[in-house]
Formats: sequence, structure tokens, C-alpha cells
Amino acid sequence: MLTFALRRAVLGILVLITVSVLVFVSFRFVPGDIVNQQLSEAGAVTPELLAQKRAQLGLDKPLLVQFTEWASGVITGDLGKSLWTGRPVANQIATALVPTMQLSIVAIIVGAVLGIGAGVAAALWRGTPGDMILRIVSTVFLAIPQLWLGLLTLTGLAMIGYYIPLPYRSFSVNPAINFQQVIFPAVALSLGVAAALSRLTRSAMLEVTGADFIRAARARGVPSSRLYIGHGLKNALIPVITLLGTQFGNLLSGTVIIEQIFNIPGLGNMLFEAVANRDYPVVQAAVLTYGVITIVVNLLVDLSYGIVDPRIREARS
Amino acid sequence: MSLAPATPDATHEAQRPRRGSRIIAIMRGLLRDEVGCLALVILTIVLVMALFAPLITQYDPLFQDRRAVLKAPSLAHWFGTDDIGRDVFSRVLYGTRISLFVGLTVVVITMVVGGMIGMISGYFGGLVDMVIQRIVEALDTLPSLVLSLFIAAMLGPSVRNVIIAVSLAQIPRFVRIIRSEMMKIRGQDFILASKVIGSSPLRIMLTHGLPNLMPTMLVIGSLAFGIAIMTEAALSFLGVGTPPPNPSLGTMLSHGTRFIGMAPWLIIFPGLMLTISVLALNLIGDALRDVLDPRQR
Amino acid sequence: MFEGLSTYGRALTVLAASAMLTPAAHAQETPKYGGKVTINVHADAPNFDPLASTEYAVHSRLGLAMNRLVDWATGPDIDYGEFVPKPALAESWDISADSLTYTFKLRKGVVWQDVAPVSGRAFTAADVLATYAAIRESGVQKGLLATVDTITAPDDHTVVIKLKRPNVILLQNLAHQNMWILPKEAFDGGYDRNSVVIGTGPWLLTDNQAGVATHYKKNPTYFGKSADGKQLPYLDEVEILPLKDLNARIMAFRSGQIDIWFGPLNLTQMAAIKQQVPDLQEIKTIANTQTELYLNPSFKPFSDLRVRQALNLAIDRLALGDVVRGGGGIGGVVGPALSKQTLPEEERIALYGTPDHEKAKALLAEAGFADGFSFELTVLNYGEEFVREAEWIQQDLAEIGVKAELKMVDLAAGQALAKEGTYQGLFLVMSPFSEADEYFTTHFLKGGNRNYMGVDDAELTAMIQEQQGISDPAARQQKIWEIQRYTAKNVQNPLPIWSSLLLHPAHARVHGWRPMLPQGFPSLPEVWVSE
Repeated sequence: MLTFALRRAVLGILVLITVSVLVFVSFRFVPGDIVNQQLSEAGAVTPELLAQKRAQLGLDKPLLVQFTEWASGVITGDLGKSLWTGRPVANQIATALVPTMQLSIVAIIVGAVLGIGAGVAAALWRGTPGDMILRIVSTVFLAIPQLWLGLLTLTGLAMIGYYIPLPYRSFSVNPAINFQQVIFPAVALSLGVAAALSRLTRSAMLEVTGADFIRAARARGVPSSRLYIGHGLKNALIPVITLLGTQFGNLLSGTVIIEQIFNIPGLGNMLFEAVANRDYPVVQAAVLTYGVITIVVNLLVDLSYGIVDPRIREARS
Repeated sequence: MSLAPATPDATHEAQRPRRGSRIIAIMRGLLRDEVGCLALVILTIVLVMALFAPLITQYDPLFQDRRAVLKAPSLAHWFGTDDIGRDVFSRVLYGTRISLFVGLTVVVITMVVGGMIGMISGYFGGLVDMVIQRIVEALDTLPSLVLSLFIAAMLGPSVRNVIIAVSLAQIPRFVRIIRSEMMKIRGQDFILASKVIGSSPLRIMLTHGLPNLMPTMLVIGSLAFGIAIMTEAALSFLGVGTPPPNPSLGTMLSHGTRFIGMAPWLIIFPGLMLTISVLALNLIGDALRDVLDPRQR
Repeated sequence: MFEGLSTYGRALTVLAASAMLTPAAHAQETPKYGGKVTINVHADAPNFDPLASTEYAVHSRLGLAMNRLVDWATGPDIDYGEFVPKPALAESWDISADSLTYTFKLRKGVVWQDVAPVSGRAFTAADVLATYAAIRESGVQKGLLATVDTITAPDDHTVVIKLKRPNVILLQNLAHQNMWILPKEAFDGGYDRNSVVIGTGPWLLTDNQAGVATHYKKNPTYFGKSADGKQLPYLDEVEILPLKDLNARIMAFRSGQIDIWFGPLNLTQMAAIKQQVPDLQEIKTIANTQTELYLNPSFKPFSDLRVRQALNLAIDRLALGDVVRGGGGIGGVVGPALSKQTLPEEERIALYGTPDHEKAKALLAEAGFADGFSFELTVLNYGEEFVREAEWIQQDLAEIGVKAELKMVDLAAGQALAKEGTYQGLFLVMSPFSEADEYFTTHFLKGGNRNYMGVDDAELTAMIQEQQGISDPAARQQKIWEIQRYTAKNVQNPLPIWSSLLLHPAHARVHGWRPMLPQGFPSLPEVWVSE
């Protein structure tokens, strides 16, 4: 188990290195740089001043030197300083990560509860109008773009005259305000997850209904609803975990949009602005952060298979 | 819900009927499936609206009627007008055109490129597989929208760049699925037999691999179509997608945000069209899965 | 639903810069001390180093905590874009007869805010010297002091600036929005001016959270007094919220979370807000920026003045401003916000606001483009309404047979393209200049920062240099107008388009609020709230 995890971690680091190089090199080909942005409002700018500012930021050095400096910094845990703010990138990432992770985690929990609940209900009510309605609802929610859902939420809230309090407050600073700020975007994000989960749960539950041991148990007089929930859910566990893993990636994608719509200062917002400002260290660090999150989530998913199903654990050691 | 009789297990079918009859078989299967029928109907409506847009509406989606700004839906303007007097209904139709065009192109590119790479990776295994998988993993490390956003922001807004950005983000998933399917059939008799008679790997992949993988590709392709449409909308919403003045559904939503609570039609109609298109594609995907692989229903 | 709000009428909604609606009813009331106001700006301050960037988000925030040597006066009789010098850290000044020596007497008894390591020390001439030296060394404001020869301090409360050549706008340069005076410790490593804000201003910056808010509390040692001798500021606290998103701003304003609105808003949107907040104060100004269309002469058709004149005649700016921006002012060589320097409105309308498609087509034909032509119009992404302007221009140009393909780029890429000159047409928003001279020198002098079209006209250059030395205001105004007329006739590049209407609605509880052109909220010390 440990060696498995280690091997995955090493592979993950290799992948991260590839990503870093790709991002570092490709982004430098985008026209424009931060110095133009910083001086954009100034009237009297001379080419000398531009060159002076570029030299101050180290942008005049050869690309390879810049990359070596950046990479050796990253290895020692130093993500460098933002060209735009002059502050350590690590601090900015840490600050921006909080709302993004909070949104994603709340969304995944809400999505899991709603989705698994609906899936179980649909399986139990199989063939009834309830099942039908749940299936239609889940199909529709799978198709609604988070973008539109977010905008509709805002429209709806505006119509009933409710205003989400501003500015953003983290949970540790003001839980009551934070709750109102996070719950709407999180629910908007979660409905797609819930829809996917409910369909999966339903079919996994139904798969066991035909199994011999269920027939046998039913013959012994065990109530069928208990059987379905017990065995069905267990059967659903592995695909559900897999799906949660892949959905987490979708959720992170969704946060980029939702953060824009709901004005939440998260990682997506940060990356978007850093790209616009050509703030190289921040772009690199933000991309790296997304990479680390994905790799960690995938690792957790893999590890949890072993916990759920002992046979997988044995096979790996 | 499905009352359709079970079709034979297409994925592992040993004999392979000719392609034409196969497609007819799939279509027949779809028509027999209730969901498939519904999906085809919706998709046809969407397609007709997009393709025959010039016949359906007399408004030019780019024309600014500067005397009719921000009009609510009416008989003259079914979906109202936007803030410089363009007809929203016409823009929605033409926007759907762009969405479908981007989606279709992305799917074709993804199927061809992703399918090829996936087959090569799965067929050869070993070092080739190892290298391909590392690259795919690197691309797959970023959430797909983040990757697309990054690429689109780098290349600048244009329809071509959106297609590149969305395709690159979709290919990894395709490669992974096709690779594992290819690995499954790699050891089967008909492939081994071909190898014995000396067929080249390319020939084996095209004559044996492709037909067997087609059903899987169609299913994930139809889902990728929907994802591509949504991603195009998201990129346009963020200002790095389809450039103005082209009517993209995402750009229209982004315009609409400036008038939330004042001109809801600017948000409702483009979003509705987006949802309906994606819904139809998802349903086709579901129905195809039912038809092609009845075990999963 | 919106009939009457955005009519297609002409000129009616075109506001002169002086048509600022300031609620006069509150003028008689006695200001109250205490309370708090919240203002929104569009973005976070990346840092607090005034020498590092010209970013609006930085300098608007610094204004609450810092002062300049000279400030812009504010008041009911002063236009948004009218510079009336007002003593700030300098109490008075003398200008030598040859206009080359400026002697500033610094205000006595001013102390720095009580923040370590400066900790309430007295303000002296050494601080001014250190700040200006650093700016001349590598500040983004460097150009504003380009005519300065030496800066010396004969004593602790006197600063003498000697110029290389006469510069009639030196006072205004010192009052420029980026010219904050910092304690000398900011430049000798005493503290990190990137993250610590120490000034002499009305409020202390107590806390700044990226993406959340910037908080200020009253500086008890502030020197400022109102006209009738009252200690300023009135407000105990100020909060600045970064709200990029229009909806977030609208909702925050409606629910009273922000008191003073900053940032783009059009009349339709304000009318909708007014339904919820009926007693809001509609404070209107014209933006101190304008949109400009650059035509690159290295692209064959645009090298012909007749083609540029034809394009000018194609664009219906008054209707554009009315429909897209819901008001504002027609552009000029000098932007309309500089109400005393731009050409009179009727003249700008005659030059830029009277489209004539027949004449335009005739001009095109004369230039050999009777069938029109196509070009790529690079549009910097300044946001939705700006893009609408581009789309509008596209349709207008199409009517005279000129087909513009829009190419969207982000700001950083657009600036790079502009500087390299690798564009055909370029549409952008000009910098917020506060002097006609800034418009002239950056646009039309060889090597100027905004001279993207490579203008190098000997006669124009001579006129521009001449106005810099005319100290009589009336004579200078005539020269400035002459330059603008000359440019419209002989250069016609870039084409000035529109200066948008700026709405700064405020809740009724806010009194004495007057938006002014320079960043940093100059009227805020005199703002008070009733409750």
C-alpha cells in the first residue's frame, strides 16, 4: 500500500515537472508583459524607463536562466514573488485556495448527499412516477451549464430582493456571512455532481437486485428495502468514489466560472487576473496548484479503493 | 423505462457487418429506444433551427436596430433585443450555429486524434504507451476548463483558437478510454489471427480496432460534444472565446449579466438554448449506450 | 420597459462636463463628525508602492492616507476636470520671473502617521527631496519631473525646484494623482513601501485584504481644515471594496453595502437601481478617459488623410454615446473632461459629431477606394460597453463600404501590438490624462508613448513646444485650441470617439461628495454622513 502510494507520488511529481516546463515556456510566447500593464496609465513613459523596470523584475534575463531560478526556488519551497504585487506568491496562493477549496468541498458534499439520496430513492421507487421524475430531473441538471445556473441563481435572488452580503469573508472570520456567500454558488456547482451521482447510484443499486444472494435473503424474509440499501449501496461504492474523483476536476473547472459570477476571490479568479497581467510567477504557481490538487485527489481515490475493497489492497502489495 | 428488445452485444461482436449496415442498425436501435427517439427529435429541432436560421428569422444577427434597444420579447422580436438593438432570437439561432460548429469540429478532432493516439498506445503498449500516457497525464492534470482557459487566453480569442483549446482539453480523456478498450481487444482471436497472416499494425488498427471501438467512440463523442459546447460558452463568457460581433451563446450570457433583473431575456434564452442542445446530445449518448451496450442499462 | 430612458435623440443627453448635478440641498446643513462610508473600486491594489505602477487601484487607495505638495481644489464651483491648485503639504509657493525657479514653503507642524518606523515624526523638506529623488531615479512618474534640473532644500521647510526650461504645468505635475509624498524612510530601507502605507493624509490604512476590503480609520493628527476652519476629516472610518463584477456592485449598492458607487454604470442600470433606492443622489460626470481609434499609416489606405477623414465622417458618435454609453461627451484631441482645454462642445460636434456618409464615400473615391476596403480592427478588451462601441463603429464603417474585422486582444497584448506598430486599426481607451499637454506630447511628438501612428509633424511639434512656455492662461488656451484644430484638419489620427458618462450614485446619507478627475478621492475629507 505504501509503496503503491509512493510510486504514484513520484509519477505525480514527474507530471508536475512536465506541466511546469510546458506552462513556463508556452506562456512566454504570449505578447505583452507586465511592465506595459504597470505603466499603462502613465503619460510620459520613455523606452529607458521600460527597460529599467524590466531589469528590476529580472525579465531581461535569458529564458533558461529565469526558469532555472524559478525552478530552484520551487524545489526549496519558494514560489517567488508576484511581479504585480511584489508579495510572496505562496501567500497569495494560500489565500486564494481557501475559498476555492471551500466551494468545491461544500459542493461535493451537497452533491453527494443529494445525488446518492436521489439515486437510492429512485432505485427503491423503480418504475413509479417518483423514479421517472428523479430521472428526468437528473438528466436535465446534467445538461444545464453551471454558468447558466449561476446566472439564474443571481437573477432569482435579485427578483426576491435577497442580496448576498459583500465583501467575501472567510469562514474563520465570519461564519454567518461566509455561509451565505458560499451556499448559493456551492449549490449551483453541486447540482451537476448530484445528477451524475444519482444516475450511477440507481443503476449500481439495481444491478444487485438480480443477484443470487439477494434472492436468497429475500426468500428468508429480509425486507427488500433494507437489502437494497445495504448491498446496493456497497455495490455502488467503488463507481461512486471513481465518479467523485472525476467530478472533483469538473468542480474545479466550475469554480473558475462561479467565482467570476459570485465575486469570490479564489484560485480561478487569481489565475485569470495573473494571465491578463502577465504575472508569470503567479500563473506558474496557480497552474502547479491545480496540478497538485488533481494528483492528490486521484491518489485519494485510488487509496480509497483499497480501503473499500480488500481484494484491491492485496493485489497491490 | 426501456421496452426495446435487447440488441446483440455490439462491442464484442466477433463478426463485423459492413459499416453502412452497422450505422443503419444503430439508427434503428436509436429509433426503437424511447430516449433515443426523444433525443433525435430535440436534436433535429436544434439542428434545423441552426442550419436554417436565415429562413427562420429575417433579422441579421449583427444588425443593430438602434431605435429598438433593450426591448422585451414581443411579436416583432420574439426573444427581445439587446443593448444595441440586435435581435436576440436571431442571435440565439446563429449562436447555436457557432456552438454546434465548434462542438462538431472538436468532436471530430478529438475522435481522430484521441482515437488514433489511444489505439496506438493501447495496441503497442510498452515504451510508446509509457511516453504517451505521461503526456496525457500532464494535460489531464489541469481541470479541463482551466486548461482550455489557459490555452485560449494564450492564443487570443477566435473560433479557431477555441476549437484548439477545447480539443486539447478533451483529448486526454478520449485517449484513456480508447486505450483501455484497445487493450481489451488486443489479445482477441481475430486480431491475433491478423497478426499471424502478417497484417501491418496500422491495417489491424483500422480494419479491426476501429470498427470495434466505434461504439465506444460514438458514446463518448456525443458526451464530448455537449462538453465542448459548454466549454465554448464558458470561454466566451470569460471573454477569451468566440470574438464579437459573432453571436456566441456564452458572449450573450456575459452581455446579459449587465442587465440582470432588468432584461432577463438576455440571460434566459441563450442559456435555455445551450441547455437544450447539451440535453439532446447527452440523451443521444445515453441512448447510444443503451443500444450498443445493453448490459449497462 | 425602457422607453424614454435611452432615446435615439441627439445632443439632449450629451452633457457638458460642467453639468454636474451636485445636490445643493445639503450645502447648508452643518457637517457631523463620525460614521463610515464604503466606496467600491473595480480592483484590488496589487501593492502600495506609488513608484511601481500607475494602477488606479493603487493610487485611489493611497489618496486616503497620503498627500501631495499641491492638490486639486474641490468645491461646488469647480469642474470635475478643472485644475485649481490648492496648498497641501506646501503652504505657499513663489515662481521666479523667468518661470524657472519654484520656491515652496512647506506647511509646519505636519506629522507623519503614527506607524513604525516613522512613528509620528515631523514632516520636513528631507522627505520631499527623498521622494522626488526616488521618482526621478526610477518612478513610473519620472516623466512628470522631466523638465526639472535640481531640487534643493535651503531649510527644513523650504523646497526649491529649478527647471531646465519653462514648464507652465509644473504645479499641475506636482499635483498629479501619482505624486504622493512619502517619508524618507520609504527610500532608505526603513520599511517596505510595497506593503506598509505611511502618509500624512486624513486616514490611516489599517488593514488590506486582497479581494475583500481595504479599511481606514481617522488620522487624529491630520492637518487639513475645512474652509470655515473645522478639523477634517469628518468620517471616522472608510472602507474600500474591490468589486469587479457589475452585478455584485449593483447588489451591494442596492442593499446599502456600498455608499458611493465608483465604476462603469449606465443610465438604464441606474434607473433600475433607483427603483430600489429612490432617494439616491445621481452624481454625474464625464470620464477623464476617451475611446480612440488609431489608424496605422503603414497600412496603405490609412496613409491617406482623405481616408482617415472619411472614416471620421462615417461614425455617428452622438448616437453611439447615447445608445451604448447612455450619455457622456463627444471626444476631442483633448478629452472632454478637461473642460477648460478641450475645444468647445459645438466645435467638437462640428468636427466629429456630424456624420456625412455621402461626403465620406466621395473622399474614399478621391483616394482611390471607391469600392471600399477591409481592414483588421484590433480591439483591446476593456469590457462589455467598450466592445459595444467597437461593434457600433463596425456597422457605421460598413455603411461607407469599409469592412472592419474585429480582432479582440487583452490589454497587455494590445499595448504590445500598439508599441510595435503591428496593427491596422486599433481601438482602445486612452489613459486618464489631466492636462492637454499630456495628450499632445504622448500622441503627437516623435517617440511619444501613445504615438502609435508615428506622427512626426514639424509644425505640430513646434506648436506643442510653444504652448509649454505660455504662462498667460488665456493665451495658452488659444494655442491649445489651435493645436486641436490643426490636428483635426491635418492629422486626424487617432480619431477621438467618445468619453463615457460616469455615474457616481451615492446614498442619501452621504453629503459633500464630489467626484474629481485625479485619483485618490480628493473631496472625501469633507464628506460626512447623516444618520
